[in-house]
Amino acid sequence: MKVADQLFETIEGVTYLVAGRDRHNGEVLFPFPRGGESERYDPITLPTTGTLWSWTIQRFQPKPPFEPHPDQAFKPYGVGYVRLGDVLIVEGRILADDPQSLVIGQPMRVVVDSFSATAAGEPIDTYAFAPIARQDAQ
Amino acid sequence: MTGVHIVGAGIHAFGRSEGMSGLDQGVFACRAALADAGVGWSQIQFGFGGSSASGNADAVMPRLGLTGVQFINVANGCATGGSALLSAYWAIKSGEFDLGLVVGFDKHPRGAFSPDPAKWGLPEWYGRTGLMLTTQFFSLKIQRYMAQYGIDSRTLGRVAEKAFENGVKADHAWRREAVDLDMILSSEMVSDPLTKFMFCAPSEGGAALILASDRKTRELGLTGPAIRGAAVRTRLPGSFEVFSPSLSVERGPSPTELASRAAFEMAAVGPEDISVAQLQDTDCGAEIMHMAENGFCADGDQAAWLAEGRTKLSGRLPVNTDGGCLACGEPIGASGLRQIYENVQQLRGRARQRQVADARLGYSQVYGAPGISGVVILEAVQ
Repeated sequence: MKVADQLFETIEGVTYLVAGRDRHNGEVLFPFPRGGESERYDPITLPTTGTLWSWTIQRFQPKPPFEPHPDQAFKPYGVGYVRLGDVLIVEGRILADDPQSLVIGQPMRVVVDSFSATAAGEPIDTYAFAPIARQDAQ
Repeated sequence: MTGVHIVGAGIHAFGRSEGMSGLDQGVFACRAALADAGVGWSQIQFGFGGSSASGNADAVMPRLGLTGVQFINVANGCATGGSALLSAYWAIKSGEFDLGLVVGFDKHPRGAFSPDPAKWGLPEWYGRTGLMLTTQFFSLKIQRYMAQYGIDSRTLGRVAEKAFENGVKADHAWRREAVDLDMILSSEMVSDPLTKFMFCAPSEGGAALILASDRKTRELGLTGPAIRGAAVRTRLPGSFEVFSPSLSVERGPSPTELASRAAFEMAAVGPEDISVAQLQDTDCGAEIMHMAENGFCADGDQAAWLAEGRTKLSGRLPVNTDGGCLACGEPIGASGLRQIYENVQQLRGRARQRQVADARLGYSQVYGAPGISGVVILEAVQ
């Protein structure tokens, strides 16, 4: 299950982030605004690839509201911003085998990350970014 | 319009104080500030105060005495102390009052803050998936800055080394032991590129100031530095701030740049005129970036500045002379007022082992979530 509705969509194996475009001034916001504000916005999908804008590694297990995976010991995870085309710079978790080798400017793509699970063992998914391997980029 | 002077400054030592509530520390600081000014609580015409985690600031009143004085609680995130001071400054400058008190105090639990996404207008998933950490923001901001301007981790380490060196010389600091550069660099990595010693920690403390108009200062024979410039600014769409799920591709100035320019303009002085500066150093990266955002150096020049010791006590522009947040910790309500307390000590020539020679203009900048910056420029009175 997804961690939230209207956050991302996966169509034919490609994951798209859902943002909102202001009907009046064209400004794009991610995530899609909730509540009364949502009426001002049209949902749009963001570019699925971009470049790494900044990154860090979350080395300690955060306090709540962070939700640790119920079945896995805490592992440090990457966090960063990715510039998706000329549209928006978006924050998210980063999936990388060796996060320390990340380099600002490298190509990234939007992926799905099963960061947690329900009591019944069903994965809970959020979006994340992963480096595009060199051979893929060509 | 009248000038405004800081005629008294008091502090309760920062750090961990077993058996003392945040409020106790605030009351302690108020009494110390009143004694420093040589005025009685019953003479005070108004108060502004704030605390982030230790309740209502006006709870100092039953302890100090119920005099019927008006007192306003201020809540403005990390800029709470700075905002309380600004409010008091405007109250006197407007001519409405002549003598007032400002107080800030806090006592935070150990470890990183754990904010509630809903209070920031953010969706629940942002916290659940592990993005709601201030430490990540500070790391992400300096990581990009280092790549853009060629700053290395030794430069980061030198900021912490200096902070602990200065903390040894400040009675009110929490960390009172020097830590060498290698230990800073090799300590546990918290959030790349920042290690354990490169972050300040939430702590406890209280600070209070007494402000007076020109007239009251003369009438009561008081003395103290004058406020020459003061400004608080919030963020524009293009600034990079904590807890931002997305950022505009159009980048712009930070709230610190806006507040700094406004305060310099008001004071009619420039960065080169400043003798001593207290800059928000939530982490080593913040001090480095704030050196440039406040106009003291160009982006990228920090590596040379730190390597040459220009921001040490003996340097051309001593920065964070009491060890800043890195050595004092950050009790949110008190932190901005601690900076002013330290500048008052410097400008009155009372800073003893950490005294900056011939300090005339003192600059302070407090910055915090969700993108607020407050700058105050003080001038010594001869």
